[in-house]
Amino acid sequence: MTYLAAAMIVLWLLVTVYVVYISLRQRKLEHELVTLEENVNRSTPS
Amino acid sequence: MSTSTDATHVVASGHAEVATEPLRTTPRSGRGLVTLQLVLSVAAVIAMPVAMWAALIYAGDAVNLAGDEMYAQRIFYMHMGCNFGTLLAFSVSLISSGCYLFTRRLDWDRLANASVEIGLLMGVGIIVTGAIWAKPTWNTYWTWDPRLTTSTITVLIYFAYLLFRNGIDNRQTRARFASIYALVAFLTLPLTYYSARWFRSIHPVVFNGNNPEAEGSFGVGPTMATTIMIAAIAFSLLTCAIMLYRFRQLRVEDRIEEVREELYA
Repeated sequence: MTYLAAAMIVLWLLVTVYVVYISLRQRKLEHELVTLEENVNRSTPS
Repeated sequence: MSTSTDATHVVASGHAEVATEPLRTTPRSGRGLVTLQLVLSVAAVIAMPVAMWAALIYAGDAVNLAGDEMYAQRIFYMHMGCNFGTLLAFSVSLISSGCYLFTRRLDWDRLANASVEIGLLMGVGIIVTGAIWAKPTWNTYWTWDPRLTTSTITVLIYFAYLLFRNGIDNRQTRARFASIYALVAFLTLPLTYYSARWFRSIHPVVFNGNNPEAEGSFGVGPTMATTIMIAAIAFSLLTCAIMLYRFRQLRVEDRIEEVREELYA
């Protein structure tokens, strides 16, 4: 039973860590987009 | 979800001349991809618990096994699920790399990159679940058996794919190099599949064959076969859902990079 539980935990942990990683990356990208948009607006003559 | 639209908006509003390859295609195909990703994600969220239920409850106990070995045998379904996920992901990387070399469209390269990442995740899953299962079955976590060795080589080769491609600055050169590399790297998959048949291995052969050297023969009963099928579908859906999410993210990453280069050039 211990081995089965260990395998389940490790597998789900792997998937969760990767999904959290790409979610954090997504948040960072959204932040970069906002910064970029501000810079574009600033550099565009009105 | 809104990121790809935002990226397009930034480019379109500020520097229309920056828009190179994907500007025209992003908004059109983007909506379809969002819907597809939503469908796949929902399907994966439903299918994964079903696969866990099938692996832990529905599948019958393995005959001639007792104690830890009997419980550990249920790791097999997750192990096989990861196998299907890896095979699917690396096959996508093979096809999309080939498509990139023919069309030179960067979307194919992004898809190859995303599929290698998720394939690696599943590949590590195969090795880890296999090692944990090996302990009660073979009395060791690891042995340099041909199947285990070729699996590890496959994972390391695809890991090197990510390292190498990140070391190349020029976008087109990176895509071309990565595509050729992925085509060659795929050769390790048939090698891994046939390693337990071609060489003396203690790893059981589950499908289409029999390995007389295997430590623990493998007969698949009806509930086991159904569970394998459920696990294959669930892990494939999970692989596709994450792959698509990562693909869209890589698209946005590239567009941000393009706009930034133009802005600060």
